[in-house]
Amino acid sequence: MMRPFLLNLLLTIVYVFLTADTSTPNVLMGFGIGFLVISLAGLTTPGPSYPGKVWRLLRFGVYFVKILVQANLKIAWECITPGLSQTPRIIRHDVSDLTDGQLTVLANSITLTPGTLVVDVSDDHKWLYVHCMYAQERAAAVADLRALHERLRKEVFE
Amino acid sequence: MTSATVNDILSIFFALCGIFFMFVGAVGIVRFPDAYNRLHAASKCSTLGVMGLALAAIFHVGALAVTTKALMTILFALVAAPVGSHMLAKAAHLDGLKPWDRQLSDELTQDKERQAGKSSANAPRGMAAPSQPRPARRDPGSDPTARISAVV
Amino acid sequence: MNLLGGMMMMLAEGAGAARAPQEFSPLRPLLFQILEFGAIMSILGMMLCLYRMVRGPHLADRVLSGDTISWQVVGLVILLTVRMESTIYLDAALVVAIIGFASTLAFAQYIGNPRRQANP
Repeated sequence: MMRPFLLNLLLTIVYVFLTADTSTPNVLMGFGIGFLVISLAGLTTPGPSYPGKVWRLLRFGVYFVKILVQANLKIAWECITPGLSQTPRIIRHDVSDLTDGQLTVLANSITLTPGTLVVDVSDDHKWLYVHCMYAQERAAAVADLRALHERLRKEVFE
Repeated sequence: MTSATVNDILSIFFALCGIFFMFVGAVGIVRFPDAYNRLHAASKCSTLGVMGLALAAIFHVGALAVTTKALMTILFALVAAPVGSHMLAKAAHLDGLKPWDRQLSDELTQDKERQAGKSSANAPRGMAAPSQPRPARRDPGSDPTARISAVV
Repeated sequence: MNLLGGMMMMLAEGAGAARAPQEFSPLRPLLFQILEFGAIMSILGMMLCLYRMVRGPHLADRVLSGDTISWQVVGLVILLTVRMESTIYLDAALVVAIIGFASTLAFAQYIGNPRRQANP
């Protein structure tokens, strides 16, 4: 996923240097031309196409911002209402099917989703220990983590 | 309605969001019961607060230099805040932070205890360790007494 | 050679880049009032973090309140950028963010160090 996107950014920079114009429409124009070139070049190779990947990544970005705002509203609600209603737990989550880079992305997005915070990774990188703020039932918290994991694997890692 | 008015409306909206979430994060740090819950407030709210303020700067100023730097700030906040809170939570757990009374379960402590039990059961030579006054250091090279004993 | 020439021209322009004055908008005074309000709220948030830093039962509480103070300073500098409509203050914001992150990592290493637990 990362390499075609970096190539696209490089093509944008080359276009901007060639035209010597840093206005926002010109930068967007360079980005669009690079996008077209990489999409057309990708038609000859097998595997998922570049526009499809970018579309899935964009959809994940929108979903991510939505859950980030949700997490903050939850914390704001907890701060405004009197009394504390948390039922925290530290639960383990199976991540043995991911590489180290994917594990980093998953840990960062778990920390930014509502009510979860990564505490530790086991030494063999197979288990993630997650502090859940609202985990009255353990099964529900595990199901939430599993849903985020599946979504990230389908839309970002392929 | 000119484009400057639209830009100002957008930047007012994002600035208000950023200010609100920054303040909520600070209130959460004071109100929440233990360090893990406080880390929730610290990581999430400062990320979204910095994002909102940077978007306000993008919409108000609009020059390419400001846009690039603000996007870099957002990217850095998205990467740095979760990593910092993860490191702090790990260190606090390693240091034996006493959790909140109402915490329901702690599987990390269970696993650590199970691993410690397994390693001492597998290696009976480890029984010599408790007789020493201090736990074994990580690298014997930096400890002069350990190096001497290794040589002897 | 056109590539190099474009690069040189951009660098020369960027060195003396000045902000063009924006056209008038009726909401500008309201935005500036909101920015002042934001500065006050940010300073109040820093005071709350200072309270936690003094009170904090564990060392991790103090370090995380210091981390949050550094993010609040980043927000304050970005507010200054919006107020002054200048391009140079965001560099200061990035530098403060990087220093706060590095100091958090250093303190986390210190807290989790097994040698510190052996002889407190």
